[in-house]
Amino acid sequence: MEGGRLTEGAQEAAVGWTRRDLLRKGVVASIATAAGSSLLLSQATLASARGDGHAKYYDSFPRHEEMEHRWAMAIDLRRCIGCRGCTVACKSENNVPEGVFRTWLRFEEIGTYPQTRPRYLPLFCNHCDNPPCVPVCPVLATYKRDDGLVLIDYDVCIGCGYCIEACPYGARYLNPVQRTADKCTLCVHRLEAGEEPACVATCIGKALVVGDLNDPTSDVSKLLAQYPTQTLKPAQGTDPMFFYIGLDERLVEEVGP
Amino acid sequence: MTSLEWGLPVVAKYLFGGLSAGAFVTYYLWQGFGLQRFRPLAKLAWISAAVFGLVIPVPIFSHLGQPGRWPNLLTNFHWSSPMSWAGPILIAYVITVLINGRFFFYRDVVLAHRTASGFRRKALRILLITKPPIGAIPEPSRLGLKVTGAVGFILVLFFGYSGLELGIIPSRPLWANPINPLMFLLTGIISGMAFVLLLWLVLERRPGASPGPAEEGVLRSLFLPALLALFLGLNAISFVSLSYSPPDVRPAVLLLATGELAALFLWVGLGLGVVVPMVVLAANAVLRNPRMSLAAVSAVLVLIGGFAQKYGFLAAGQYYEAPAGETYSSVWPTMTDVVEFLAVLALVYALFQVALWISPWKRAPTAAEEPAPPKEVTA
Repeated sequence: MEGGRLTEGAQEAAVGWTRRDLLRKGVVASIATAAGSSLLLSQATLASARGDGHAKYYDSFPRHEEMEHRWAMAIDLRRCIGCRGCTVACKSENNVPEGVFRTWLRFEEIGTYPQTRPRYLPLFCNHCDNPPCVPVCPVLATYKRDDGLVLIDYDVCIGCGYCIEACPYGARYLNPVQRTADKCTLCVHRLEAGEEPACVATCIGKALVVGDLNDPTSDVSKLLAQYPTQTLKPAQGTDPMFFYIGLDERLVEEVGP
Repeated sequence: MTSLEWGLPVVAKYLFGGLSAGAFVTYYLWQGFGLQRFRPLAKLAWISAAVFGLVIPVPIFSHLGQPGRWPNLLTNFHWSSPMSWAGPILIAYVITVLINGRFFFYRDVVLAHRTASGFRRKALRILLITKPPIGAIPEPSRLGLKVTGAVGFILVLFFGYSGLELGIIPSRPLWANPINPLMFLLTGIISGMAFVLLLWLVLERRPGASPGPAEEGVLRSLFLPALLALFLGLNAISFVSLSYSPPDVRPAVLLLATGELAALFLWVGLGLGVVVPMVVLAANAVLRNPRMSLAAVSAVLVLIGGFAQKYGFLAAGQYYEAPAGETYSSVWPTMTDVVEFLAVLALVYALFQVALWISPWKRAPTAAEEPAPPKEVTA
């Protein structure tokens, strides 16, 4: 049939199979696809799960160096006065553009008026042991080092924002200047030079303490051994390496970005 | 105060991906599964699948902070990231669809190439790939058509990756839903099917004429209303499961149910976009004289609804989780995003015009235009 309605020929030849054949093959193809999808889903779920299997998953990633340190931070909220010195020092040290923050302070009022108490909560990238931002990165730009730091390769990042969405702490942002994801690096350049991160160095209340968890004599190890600590959003299964001392129970799950 | 991290460009990516997938499924229902009812839609469905498939990368580029680094998606493949899978799946899909079209349209393209001139002739020559035959037109490879069609259909099933992208993020409780991949795939197929139906109705309309047998077959199909009913059922399951989820999902659900996004998501997305067309299409299918106008209006509603559902779901899922101590200024897209989206829609329109001009698609002739069958000669 010429003109307009489907012409005979190629299309007609296409329907060489009987409908039963095609449906049968379609069912087989669908089952195969479903099996493939399930495999993909199970692998992706594993990547965001907790436990030994997850640790093994990360072991398959290339490491930048042997694990000599395991960096962690203790934040003693009893000493924080909410001065925002950490925020300013971080901005200055890392040249963080206007409008975005690697370190910021959240103010919460606990209790019911007039029995209220102010609570200051410094927030950072938690350099999680099971970082949800790493498995979702489509181009391997976000990685976790053997010393526990979660970093970004700014030359590889495409700025898709997937890691920003995946972070339960809202620690990542799209850097408006370099157009890539960005976040706290725990001042890795200073750590490698044997100095404290800028936020720690500037904290006038000495509320921020950074150190090596593999070294039992480090200040951070001593603090964690001496006081009960909390991490933020433990239900997310991220195993943060930032430990809060004196964190109000009501803020553990509620604290978001 | 900042705008949504994943806004209109991401919605556009999901929208065009779904439209392409749905159009290909519509094509494959006849070409692959042999459902004769969908035969009149097959050519336009293939063209729609190809055009939308080619357009998918445009909003992705507009969304990326560093669009020039897109090759990293292929060179730095990360198996655990659904977004990383998108690159190979989309590329394989578009190539497969184009090769499939070469087999599907072969005879038509050869015939059109013989009579065409200028740019159209050159374009048709490229579509042929091989040297155009002189004289009798050989039959295209049936195996090639079947294999590329089946591969394309299987790749369409993987388009659920878009739902997986959101579904594996536990930090966004509204998105972290295991049936997301199925729902994204289903809403994509529904939108694509509705678009093809609308395109066919617009291009084939004959003012004043009642539907012919082919048109009536399409209008009497209950396939689309059945898919809409299935999608509605999945939405119900999803919302029941959300009511048993941890309380941190409540703000996002309330935003969709009673908040600023309720009108868009609940009323436009699900009410006008699913319930109304489902009822109208089902009723139209059983009417003594099914109306093309009712089907066209329903298709438009499905398309608007598909967009509204996607935007609402994406915006509500992230609204209360702004990064780095910020708060999102609005659940609505910025003017820049809207202008970019309109520009992409204009590009889609232009590409369709070009595709319909080049391709050997022709409007179905009316009964009056049909050549009279040869009279039987009796001895």
